[in-house]
Amino acid sequence: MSLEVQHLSKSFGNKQVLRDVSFKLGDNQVVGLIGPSGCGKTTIVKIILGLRGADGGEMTVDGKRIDFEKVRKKVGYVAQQDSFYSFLTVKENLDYFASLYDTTSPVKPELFGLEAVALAGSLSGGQKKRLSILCALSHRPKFLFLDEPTVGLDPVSKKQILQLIGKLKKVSSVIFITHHLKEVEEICDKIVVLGRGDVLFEGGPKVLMKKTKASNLEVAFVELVTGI
Amino acid sequence: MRELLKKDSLYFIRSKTSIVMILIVPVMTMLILGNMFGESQATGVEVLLCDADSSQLSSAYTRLFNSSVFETAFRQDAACVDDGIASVERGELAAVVIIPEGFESEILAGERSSVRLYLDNSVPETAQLIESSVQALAREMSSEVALSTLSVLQSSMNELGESLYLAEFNLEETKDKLSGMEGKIASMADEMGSLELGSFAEQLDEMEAFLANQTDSLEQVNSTVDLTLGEIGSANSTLGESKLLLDDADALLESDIEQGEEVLGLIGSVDAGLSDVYSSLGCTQATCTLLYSAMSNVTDVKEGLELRVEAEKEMRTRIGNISQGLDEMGEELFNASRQLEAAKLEAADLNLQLEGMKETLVRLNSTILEFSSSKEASLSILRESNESLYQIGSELGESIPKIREIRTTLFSLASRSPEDVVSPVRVSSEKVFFSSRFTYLFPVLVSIVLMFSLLLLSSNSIFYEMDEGTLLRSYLSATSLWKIILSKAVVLSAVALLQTAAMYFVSFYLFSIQLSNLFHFFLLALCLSLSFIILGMLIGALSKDQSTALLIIVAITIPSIFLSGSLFPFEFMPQSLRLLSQLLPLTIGANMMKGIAVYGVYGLPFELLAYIMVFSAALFFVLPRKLRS
Repeated sequence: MSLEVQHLSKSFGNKQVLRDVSFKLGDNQVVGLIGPSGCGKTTIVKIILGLRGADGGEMTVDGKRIDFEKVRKKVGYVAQQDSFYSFLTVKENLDYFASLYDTTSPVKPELFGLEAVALAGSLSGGQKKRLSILCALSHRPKFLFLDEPTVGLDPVSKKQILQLIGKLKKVSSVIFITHHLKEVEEICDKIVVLGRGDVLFEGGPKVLMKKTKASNLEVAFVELVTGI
Repeated sequence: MRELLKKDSLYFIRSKTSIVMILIVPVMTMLILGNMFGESQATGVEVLLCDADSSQLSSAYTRLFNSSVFETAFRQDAACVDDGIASVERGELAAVVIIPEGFESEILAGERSSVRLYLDNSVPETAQLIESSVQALAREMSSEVALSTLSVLQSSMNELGESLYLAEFNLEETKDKLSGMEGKIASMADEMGSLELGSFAEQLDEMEAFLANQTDSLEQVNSTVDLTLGEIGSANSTLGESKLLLDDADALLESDIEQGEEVLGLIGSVDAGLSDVYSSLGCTQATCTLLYSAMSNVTDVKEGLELRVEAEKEMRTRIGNISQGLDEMGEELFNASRQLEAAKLEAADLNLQLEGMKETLVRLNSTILEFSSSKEASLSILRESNESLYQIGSELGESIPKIREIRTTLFSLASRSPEDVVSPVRVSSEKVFFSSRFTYLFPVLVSIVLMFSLLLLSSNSIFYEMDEGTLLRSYLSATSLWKIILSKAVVLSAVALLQTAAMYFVSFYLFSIQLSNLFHFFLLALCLSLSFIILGMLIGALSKDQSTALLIIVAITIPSIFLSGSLFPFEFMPQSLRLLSQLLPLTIGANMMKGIAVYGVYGLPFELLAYIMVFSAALFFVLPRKLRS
């Protein structure tokens, strides 16, 4: 199942955040959506989720125009902050979020280093982030949007999250929003670089490095965005 | 330290909602309390006034209610009292004031009349206000009545004074007139005394009557004598005629007797002839018989004739006797005639005497006439005096009923007790409820607790989930927003019912609170809770942070409590606040709960349902926008 964004534009007052954004999320792909702060990464996700309206452009799923009510059942969203109920246990959280889609959670928390009966509020930062992602997976989404899931995590937790994302692409297509380009380089099949309201680059991380003749993705990104 | 102060200050300064709420709460509180306590007098207390007397006095009393704290409905029909009491018991009216039948008549009779006040005491301040206001109006009425009584007294005293002045004047005049009359009557008495007529008039009258009688008698005697004399004359002539007739008859009888005796002689001769014949002739049978028969007839005639002669002789004797009698009678008549002539002469003498007496009487009569004129003069004086007395009497007669009326009024006024004069209108208060004050506070307390707890819980529920991102995650799921809200509302409603039950059981077992209809009470609590739950969610959705939510809640709850009528009765509020208070869910809920707890009346809480719908609409408008932002 693929998702395609075409010529998307969005303004907030006089400020045009998105000018002409087009990219594609292929089946079982992990696409890194990167760009400088305020370039509209989260706005794009919110537009896709139907939380915000676009000024122009089109979005299709498998070539069909998006019906937000339908697409919501196929989408999982993990925000920057952890979003689950701290007064529920891990299993209760998973069951609750699965129930919102009239299904049961296929996720076994023990497989992700989480104790099912532990209260969510008592988990460590990494565990909370993992639980947050697992909650988004509890209804088996086809598309998963991860908004900076590794922010504030220790290196071990980061590693675990990245491993988890790596596993997810077997069942879902993932849009991964982050500023940590090493993580992008590590797990993304494709990157979409946003800057000045436009898509500056869409393709594999290595293609960008090659194009910019940079030694790593971070240098390539800076060169692409700043032109330096 | 400076930086700390700056940071803590900026926390509020940079949150517009916080700063608005921080200012709104004290300003609103001051506005409400200032308006409440700034109001000098309570107004619009709804009472029903039943005027069972329909009199001028009762109307005057009802008019006092127009210019008081009351918003009064007036009725005069028979069902007013029952309707009013029922309305008070249902909490639809604060009180019913009943002016009893006979109100005016009792007061006018100088008795005390009691106005009945049937009072809803579920809001003690209002009840006290009503009681004191009705009593104040009764005092005002009493003072008016007392003033009127004093005016009557004053007017009676004035009238009495005038009447006494008039009576005094009349008596003075009477005294003068009587003095004048006394002199006149005294002189009249002297005149009358000098006449010494005594029984003269009577005797004169008697004498006159006697003389008239005597004159009549004499005239009668004269006429009788004349008549008798005539009759005697007539009798004399009759006697003469009779004597002549008797003489004629005697002569005739004498001649007849002589003829009879001759006839008898002849008959004897005949008879002797016949006997001779008979004896001479012998007789044959036929002749004998015939002779015998003839002889017998002659004998019969002879005997008859003898008898007739005898009778005529006897008649002659009788006629002789009669004639003699007539002669005697003639003599007697002559004598009588002479006597009558003598009597007539005597009567003439007597008549002359009577004429003399009559002349005397005429003289006496003239004397009497003089006396009569004197009497007329006296009578005129007496009539004049009588008229004066009548005039005085009628003037006094006019004064008497007036004085009597004044006396009755004064007596009636004097017989009143001073207390009844000073306060003739009393108020007898009857309170509808005899429960403890907690009974009236219970519904309000339940409503306030529900409001506080549910606004906090529900606003926090939304705010927490929005802050945690879980609400957004739920919103982005396949589940509808209304399901998410409903699920929260259901759980919070259960919490509310649990709270209500806890409050009820504590109040029931410890403070003997009785509810007429538990189902409706809890149904109402549920509706009220739902309105607070949805409002709380709306507050949570609108708030950027928890302190803003808290400030909004405080801004809502404090005025709601002040305006709920529990701390300050509605009647003490200005009209604008009163209208506002009636729109608040807390007021609506508390009033309806009070209806069940105190009055035993209940109905469907349409206003709360309307609020639930309005708050829900606002929530479903605000929340998705907040989630999307």
